[in-house]
Amino acid sequence: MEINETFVRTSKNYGINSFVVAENTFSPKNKIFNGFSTNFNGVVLHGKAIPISPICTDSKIELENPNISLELNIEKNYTSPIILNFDFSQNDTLVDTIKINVKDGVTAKFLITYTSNKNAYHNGFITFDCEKNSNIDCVLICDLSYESDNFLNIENTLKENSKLKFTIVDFAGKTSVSRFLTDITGNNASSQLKMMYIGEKEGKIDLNFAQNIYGKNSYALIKTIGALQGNSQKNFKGLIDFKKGASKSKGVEEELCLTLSKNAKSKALPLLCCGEEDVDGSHSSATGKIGDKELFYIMSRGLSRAEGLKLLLKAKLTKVLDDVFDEKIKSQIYEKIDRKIINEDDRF
Amino acid sequence: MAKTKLEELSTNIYNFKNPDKYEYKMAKGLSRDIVEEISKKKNEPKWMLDIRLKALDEYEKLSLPTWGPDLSELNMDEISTYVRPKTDMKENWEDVPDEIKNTFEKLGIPQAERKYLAGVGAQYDSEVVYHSIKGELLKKGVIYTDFDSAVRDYPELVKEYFTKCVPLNEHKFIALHYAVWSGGSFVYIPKGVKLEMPLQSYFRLNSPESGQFEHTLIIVDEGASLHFIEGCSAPKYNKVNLHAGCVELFVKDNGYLRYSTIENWSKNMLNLNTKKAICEQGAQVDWVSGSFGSKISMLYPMSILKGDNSKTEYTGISFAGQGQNLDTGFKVVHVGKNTSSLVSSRSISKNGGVATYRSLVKILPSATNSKCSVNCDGLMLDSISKSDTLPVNDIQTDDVEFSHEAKVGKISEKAIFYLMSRGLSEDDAKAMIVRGFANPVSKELPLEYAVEMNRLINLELEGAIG
Repeated sequence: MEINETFVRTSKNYGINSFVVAENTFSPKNKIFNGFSTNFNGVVLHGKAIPISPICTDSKIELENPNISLELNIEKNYTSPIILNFDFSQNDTLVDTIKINVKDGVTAKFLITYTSNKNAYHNGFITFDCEKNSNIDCVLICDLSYESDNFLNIENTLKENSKLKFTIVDFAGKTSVSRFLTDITGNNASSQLKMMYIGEKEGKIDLNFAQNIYGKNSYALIKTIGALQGNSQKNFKGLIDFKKGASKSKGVEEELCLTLSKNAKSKALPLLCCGEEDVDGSHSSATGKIGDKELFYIMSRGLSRAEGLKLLLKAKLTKVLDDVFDEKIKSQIYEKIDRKIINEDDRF
Repeated sequence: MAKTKLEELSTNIYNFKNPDKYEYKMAKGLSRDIVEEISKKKNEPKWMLDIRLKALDEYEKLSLPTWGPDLSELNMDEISTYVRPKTDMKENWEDVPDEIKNTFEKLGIPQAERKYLAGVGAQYDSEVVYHSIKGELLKKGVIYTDFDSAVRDYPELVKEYFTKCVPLNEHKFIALHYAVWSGGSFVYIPKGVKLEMPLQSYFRLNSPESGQFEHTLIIVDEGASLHFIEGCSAPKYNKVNLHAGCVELFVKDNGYLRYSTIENWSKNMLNLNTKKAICEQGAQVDWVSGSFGSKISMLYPMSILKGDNSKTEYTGISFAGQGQNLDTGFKVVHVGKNTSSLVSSRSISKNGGVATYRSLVKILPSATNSKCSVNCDGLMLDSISKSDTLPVNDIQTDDVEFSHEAKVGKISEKAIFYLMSRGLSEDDAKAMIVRGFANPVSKELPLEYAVEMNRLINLELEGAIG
């Protein structure tokens, strides 16, 4: 079963969609999930929700019958972050759909977390529908144990003058598949996606990020930085597509993959499509290890190789963690990075 | 800034037609009989016919690519795969029939030969009509001949290398090529021989509704070096013409090869060419490519850096105008240790043209301490055109430095304003910026070709901006 296919046919030819998930992945054992908590009062719980485009055909069947289906109408400004917390300590299977409608001129922050200390299965579908002049800042953290499978599909629509800042932190498990699609339909709108991941052991990470710019004078960013340890592998498929009429718009796509092990494998397909003359688009993609010179310098200041490596890695990751608005959460992320890297025994 | 749209230039210096005269033109279509007939006309050995027939089988098995430009208008039943011009191959320019001679004279081939080429080959439709090489090179053991003669005169050398770089089942159009190939060049540069002057082959397709399937095979032996130039053009007809050539390059230990192409096929041409190089230890192959013509191009030269310390550079520009879909790019596979590749690609699209950069960088686990840097820029001259960048990067080792950068956009208004403030008209300012944009490619070419390329850019720009 092939999943998370790009919108671009050429990718099939180059095997970038070679990512295959075992057939039995999509068989949730338990249809009850009672680890959900929130500080938001207006959550509407639905029995069923049908997503627009699932991550693969099989996941659609599941998402038609989720065990958590939420709808949030954000009609006023919120100064404190709205928290949606999914804790797998009591259940191991979560199939969730979250639809968030942001009304005209509303400003809000979201913190969505998925945490598990044991094997878990997560298949989630999140949509943000941002109306005019809205301003959303969302931090999403997937902190599932190594044996977990994580499927995350995010789709957004941005109307005039709206802004969406999305930060995804993925401590990937055995399988982590993410899809992020934003249609910037309005003029003067801005969609920024920043994402960090750390792959370990035999983990597979598949990222499929696309931003379609239809509106004039709009902005799109895809910035992904991650590290691969052990035998982990990552497929990155990114697209910034300037549609006809998207004049004066700007799009930036940056991908950096740090390979911390000789067996790690990184594939990248950073696409840039342009159907409008008056735009400014750029993309860059880089893969490599942490520089020996940088590491040597840090070690000459008295740090061990492992400490130096972690320090340099965190320095790189800072670029995508800037927008994490909660300092406590940010320091927890850095602590987790420390633990993840030090556990990589084939290096030290 | 206001634009004055002018009609696309319907003619340029390459678009002159000779009457469709030939000694023999194969019936249209593709069949076993036709393949056998081509082989018979060429009086080929059986081993070559066997390769042709095997390729035909592969052609029938393989399907069209599922990606890239739409090739539905290509109907092999409407294409004649072999057209023999009304002359044999000549070694004396004066012996070439006037009509064909005039064609190449208009294209500047003999003047170039006199001035700065070490050898020249000229192919008209399916056969090479003129081939020459400077005497001193023959004494050094350099072989530069048309491919048909090489099959006859150097069968062991041809057998050793033919299909070994580009296998006959790599894709549908390479299978087609091997089934009906005709003409092309064969070059062998012996160990340690360094050619100071380039060799050039020029390919001209005059006959309408026909295909050109030339095969170029170059072997640069240990420590040798060569600059090879390839030029292509054709007059414009209303029906589709097909070019499915193949270039196989072998660069042995510490050898150097520069392969330059200026392609200006007519805008009814489907250019489905395949080019590949294998670099042994310490060898280097540099590609310089200018794609201006054709209706559809699918052209992705490839370097396989097999030996340790081998290198490759690709510098390319494509210029897609009205009705053109140029899908070009570069592929590199790093196999050996300490290998390096440097890719610089530029594309310009205007008047509804589609320019796509499609590439592959593959660094295998064995290619430790390798470096790869890719840079591609797209320039759009209006908002009805399209410019896409589709790079695939497959990195399988940690001990590597890889970076890819791409930009797309229009001509900077600030730059135009600056140039206009220095006294240039808006048109001249834009043309100067576009020429500057193409400069990384033209500076890699010999001076005469750089001038030629700038002239092509000026021709293409006329009617596009202003």
